[in-house]
Amino acid sequence: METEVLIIGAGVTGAGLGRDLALRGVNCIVVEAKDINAGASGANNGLLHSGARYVSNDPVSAQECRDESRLLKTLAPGCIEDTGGLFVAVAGDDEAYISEFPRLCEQHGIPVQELQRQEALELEPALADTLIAAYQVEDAAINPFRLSLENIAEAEAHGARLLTHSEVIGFERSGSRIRTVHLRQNRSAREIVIEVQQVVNATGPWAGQVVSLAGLSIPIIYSKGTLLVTQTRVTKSVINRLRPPSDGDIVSPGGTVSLVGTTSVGLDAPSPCRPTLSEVDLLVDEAASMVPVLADMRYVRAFAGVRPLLAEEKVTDGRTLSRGFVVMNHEEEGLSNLVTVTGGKITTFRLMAEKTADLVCSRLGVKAPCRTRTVPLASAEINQWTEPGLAPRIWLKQPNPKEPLLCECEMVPLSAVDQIIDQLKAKGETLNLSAIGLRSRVGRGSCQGAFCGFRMTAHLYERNELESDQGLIQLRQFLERRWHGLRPVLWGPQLAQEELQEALHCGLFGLEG
Amino acid sequence: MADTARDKADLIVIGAGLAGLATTAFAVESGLKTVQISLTAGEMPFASGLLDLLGIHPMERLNRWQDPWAGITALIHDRPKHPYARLGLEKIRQAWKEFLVFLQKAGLRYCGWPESNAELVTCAGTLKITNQVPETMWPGVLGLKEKRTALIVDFEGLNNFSAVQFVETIGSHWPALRAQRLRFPYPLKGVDRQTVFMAEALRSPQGRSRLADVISPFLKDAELVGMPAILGLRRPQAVASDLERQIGVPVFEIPTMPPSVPGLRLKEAIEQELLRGGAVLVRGRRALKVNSNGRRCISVELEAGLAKETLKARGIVLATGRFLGGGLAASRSCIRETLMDLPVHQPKKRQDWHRQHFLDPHGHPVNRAGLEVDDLLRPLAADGHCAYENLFVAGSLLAHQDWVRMKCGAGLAITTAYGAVQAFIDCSR
Ligand SMILES: Cc1cc2nc3c(=O)[nH]c(=O)nc-3n(C[C@H](O)[C@H](O)[C@H](O)COP(=O)(O)OP(=O)(O)OC[C@H]3O[C@@H](n4cnc5c(N)ncnc54)[C@H](O)[C@@H]3O)c2cc1C
Ligand SMILES: Cc1cc2nc3c(=O)[nH]c(=O)nc-3n(C[C@H](O)[C@H](O)[C@H](O)COP(=O)(O)OP(=O)(O)OC[C@H]3O[C@@H](n4cnc5c(N)ncnc54)[C@H](O)[C@@H]3O)c2cc1C
Repeated sequence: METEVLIIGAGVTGAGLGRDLALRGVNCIVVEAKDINAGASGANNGLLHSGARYVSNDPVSAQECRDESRLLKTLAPGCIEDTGGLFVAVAGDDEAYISEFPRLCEQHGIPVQELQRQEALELEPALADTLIAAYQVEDAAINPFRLSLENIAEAEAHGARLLTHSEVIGFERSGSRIRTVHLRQNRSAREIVIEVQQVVNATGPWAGQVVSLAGLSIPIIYSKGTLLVTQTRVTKSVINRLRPPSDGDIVSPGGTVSLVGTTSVGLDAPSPCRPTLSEVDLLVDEAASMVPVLADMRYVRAFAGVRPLLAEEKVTDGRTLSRGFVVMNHEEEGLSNLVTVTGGKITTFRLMAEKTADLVCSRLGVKAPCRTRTVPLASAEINQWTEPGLAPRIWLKQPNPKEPLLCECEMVPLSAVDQIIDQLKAKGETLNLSAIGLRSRVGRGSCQGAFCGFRMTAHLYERNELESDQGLIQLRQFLERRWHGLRPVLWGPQLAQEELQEALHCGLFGLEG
Repeated sequence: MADTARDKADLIVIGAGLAGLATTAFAVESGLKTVQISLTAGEMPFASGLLDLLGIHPMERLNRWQDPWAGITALIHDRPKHPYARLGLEKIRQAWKEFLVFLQKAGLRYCGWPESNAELVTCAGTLKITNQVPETMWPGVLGLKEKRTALIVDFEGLNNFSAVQFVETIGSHWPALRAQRLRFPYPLKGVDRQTVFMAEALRSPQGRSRLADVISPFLKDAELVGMPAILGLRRPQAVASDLERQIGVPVFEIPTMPPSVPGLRLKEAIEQELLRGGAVLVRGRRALKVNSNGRRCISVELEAGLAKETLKARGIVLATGRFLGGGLAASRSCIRETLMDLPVHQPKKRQDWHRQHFLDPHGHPVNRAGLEVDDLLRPLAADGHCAYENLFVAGSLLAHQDWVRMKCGAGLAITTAYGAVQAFIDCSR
């Protein structure tokens, strides 16, 4: 196999880069160790930043977010719910910081409007009555799953390829160039080799590990952030705590649910990365001081992602574009066809892809300009199933008694799952419960897979995708994966739900045996 | 009689899961004036209808017991705090025997070998070890044992059971199976109560003969026919034998995902028999408070629309279940008993409630949390002595057991119910 550009990592950056290059007519392959959005892109607050959050400590990021979020609202509206956002302070928060905030926003050209206490409470009745200040900003909610899936889909439509479950395990160099990239296909344990002209390392927090395969190093500090998913949505808009960035500052809407984030805990390596009970407690307590109902809310799961923080002073080998993200050309380290792009935000993913593609194209001598600033993101019907609350809306509008629901919590119909299976198969991608879950809402509702996991397995048997007891193996894996997120939120009604799940899966089915 | 029991009962049973139902049954059979109070049907609508006694011990070794009594003997020896050890082997045997007689009286026939556990195949295609099996599932037990040729059917639109999955998954243990999808003779209604709807449709003779007509063309060489558990909410034996007569081979039920028709059936049949025996069943109401004089419980206050109602009794059995049933509630910091705030045996901190892997064979410590009791199944107060002379506990609320992993759910519910009633009688003498 060969390609002009091999992109490592199918998070939102790799996906965006694939689309950018494909739109410039460059041939590329995206390879991903697990599946789309397996890293930070599948474990974040889904907040499309207006920039206001960064005005005090990171003006470059603030301006990038301001410009990119506006652009995305016009180019990728299908992935965005334009909720607006509030910055709120409660009794006890730093008054100096509060009074400084609107001035800083104005200084960086970020629209902000002060709200009276009563206005804010009318807008968001869930806010605490200890509220002392509220400012309205242009924050929004973005669905990172749909975003990555659509970027990949459009890249593929323009000739790019995606290989999932294909992990880069080595580079073969000849002089200053990487000649081939070695991959292990984790499902089959087969190894493949791809001949490359350019390689982009878009592996986010894994960037250091990947360059080490080529004998280089990037000093990265790993910061884990944990988030909680509520059973029901608690606010209409994004709520930020008006204080220097800290734990439990953000309550952002994700369709029918809210996401409460985040923490910041140092890790020695980018994986494994799991939410812990103490982080969950911290989040609940902190966020409840802004939105009191969160103290007694039912949480359906927790999850964690890793931010790669660059130890800046040591990054000497490339252009530091901003404190938000870096694009490194690795030329000083003796490699002429590797680029690393890491850091940043979902909000700025398009810009990260553009800067990276500019560098890659200049190396390839490709003159075609970046088109992602003007071409709207193509929207495919199939990717809509990632949207929380969409399936129930469709169902309620047009209940179809003939069509069984595969997932009752999220009301995902069988036909949606069939579409997804067909697509996975057509692309030769790995077909398992997690792959279906990623592309839909199956397993993400309050039962967390207890019922729909079983039904999906049954359905795969019916489609002849499984034989003998393969389904049991898949079901066990699926349940164990959901468990990481479930375990930290097991109290109250979610513990009762878990009890039912265990009675069923262990008491009756004996899956532990 | 009902009115007098309501004025002053011998025994008030709180909870109508299997433990509460069994307690009321034993109490009524002993001639006690009994009132049973419950908010919900507990786990009954989910339960498979199988009666496990003891399948696995020690669970971390996943050690299966063919002979449940030998298993219980070992368990009593190894785990002196397990509720079975409180009861002792003889009481457990007696309870089991009497309860099966009671079920027979209630019109539900169960099958099983007196000294041996049975194995059957669940809707997931896995093997399940249990002790007593509804008669309508029994041909499946024998069919598996003898590897008979069987047709397994499922139905278009039914989301709880897949014949292909069943046949494929169990294939290495039971190869002579064939899957067939059929159209149920009546259009399926709804999404979450499909099996219940189907069971109701089979109440009428036409329903059965229409189903038989749908199945027969696919029978071929099959010696029996397996299908999801939908053979009627009442008198399932009649439904099964009617189908057998028309198809020409025995049919058997396969336990399904909830809602479980056999669980509902068990509840219905027991309740009807309890009413015939003169028990007062108070449904859909929460017990709010138990009044005592410090030493003895005197009465139970019930939640009501306007006025509160207070029921008096000489003794009380708590069969309020765990988190799902409502007997226990967990906050982020601790687990509490919900009705009387009795001390709950539990892991020290939430970190220790669950293990890192869901399917860890050691089981989750939180599942062994619950009420600790004395030998008369009376819950202990903080000082280690029984909290009240006339308060008893039955069922999954008890500490030091993991019925899910040890496959002893019904056994625990039924035998501790028996133990609680016996203890009440002994204490009242
Ligand atoms: C807790 C948290 C909250 C956040 N909240 C927000 C927010 O609200 N708004 C916002 O704009 N941004 C947010 N971010 C930032 C944002 O999520 C990330 O910047 C963004 O997702 C990074 O995308 P990426 O594609 O660069 O990296 P990733 O998404 O991490 O993708 C890297 C991919 O590389 C793959 N990979 C790794 N090693 C290999 C290998 N050897 N071979 C092949 N593939 C490999 C991984 O499997 C992974 O899929 C948040 C981040 C965190 C951690
Ligand atoms: C999915 C599933 C599968 C099962 N499969 C099997 C199986 O294969 N074999 C087997 O042997 N058993 C099985 N079981 C059944 C199990 O054995 C019993 O359900 C379990 O032991 C719990 O019974 P319980 O009566 O103690 O509690 P529950 O069933 O939880 O009952 C508690 C009762 O207390 C009531 N209550 C609580 N608080 C109050 C209050 N304050 N006021 C009034 N009422 C109150 C509730 O409303 C309820 O009626 C299964 C159960 C489930 C959920």
